[in-house]
Amino acid sequence: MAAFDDALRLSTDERIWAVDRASNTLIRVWGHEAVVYDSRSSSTHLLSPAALAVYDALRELGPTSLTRILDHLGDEVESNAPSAEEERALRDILDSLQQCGLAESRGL
Amino acid sequence: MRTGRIARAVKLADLSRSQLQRRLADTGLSIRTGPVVSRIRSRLPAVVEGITLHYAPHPALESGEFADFDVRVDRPQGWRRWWRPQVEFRVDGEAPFAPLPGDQGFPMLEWGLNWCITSHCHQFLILHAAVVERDGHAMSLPAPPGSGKSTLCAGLIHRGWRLLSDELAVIDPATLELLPIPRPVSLKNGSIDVIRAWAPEAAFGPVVRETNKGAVAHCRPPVEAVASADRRATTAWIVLPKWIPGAEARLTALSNAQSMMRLIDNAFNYNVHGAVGFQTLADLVERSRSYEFEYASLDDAVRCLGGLPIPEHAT
Repeated sequence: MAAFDDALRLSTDERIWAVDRASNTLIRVWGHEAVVYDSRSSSTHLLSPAALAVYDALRELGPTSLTRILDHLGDEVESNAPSAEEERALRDILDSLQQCGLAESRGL
Repeated sequence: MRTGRIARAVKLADLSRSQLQRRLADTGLSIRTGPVVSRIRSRLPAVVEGITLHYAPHPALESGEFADFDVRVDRPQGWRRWWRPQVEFRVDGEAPFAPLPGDQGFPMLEWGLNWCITSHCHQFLILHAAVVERDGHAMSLPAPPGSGKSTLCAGLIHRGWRLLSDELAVIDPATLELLPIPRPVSLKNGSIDVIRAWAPEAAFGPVVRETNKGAVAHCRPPVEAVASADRRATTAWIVLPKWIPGAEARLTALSNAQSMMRLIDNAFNYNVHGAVGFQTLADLVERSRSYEFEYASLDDAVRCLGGLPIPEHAT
């Protein structure tokens, strides 16, 4: 049941994603990792290489769709079309960023 | 906190026994430990003995001088004192903690002073970490209780490293320098005999049993560490120790980001500093090399840590 729901959600993710406009952040990047301080919540977050790539994409692209982020990340690494697994991983990262207050989403 | 004016001080060891007892019982004995002055009052023989032994090389200020903390460790006044003696820690007249059993006066003084510093000295960023220094390069050893931090610290300071603190890394956010607060090294349980064997010359106070941390004994800070308490140090290495029985001494490099998160985990007042705290810790890890460190034997640990390369930006 859970897998079936996941599949439905994957194919209908039509949210627009963006860096949370209300956040006020400082970032320190070291190689492929980073730490981000959000003064609104006084929280510090560790961004893994994948999370940093997604966060950078959001900052670069402005409000955008999951598909567009995937395209952007695909361009960067010159990979083939993203798989369902990659889409799911991206959505998980976006959800995590949103939970941390670093990203926000809204419906199309 | 100490300002530009240096208060008149003598070494505590230069006070006669009666002078020391009188000050502790009456006006208070003001002891400077690095940037902190604590005015201490106590009539408890164990506290008098502990201060006499452990703070002998420290500067004792005139009673009228400003003190950051006005501390008293004595018996509480309840009727219970007649059948189950207890000790109580008061700072500026308030008792922030429940009393402890009567023989825990000196440990309670030490724990209480740590609390005073971490709860009030917010001009500094303070980590739960031992700090030692050699050849101008400091090593911070942040770790939660039970990691072998104080044991490792005691081992290192009896093999050529200077003690800054066995408990608190006190960082000046303006300069990233570490301020020494050389005070007694608190050892627990099996570590007490380990360090007695490792450093037979070390001066120990009595073992106090059945505290919340088990058996506790304090080891007097080396005289040279107290004498150089005004000499700040710059961090070269951040080492997160973990004592594991039977383990080979092993250093595992940590990324800057991972190191920073671990420092935050071990910080007392990171949130108080907001963005400044973030920049301070980020700068600190950037200028240091960070490692996780497993060890079992002090011999191996001292050899291993003594061989660490000095980071380029720390020279």
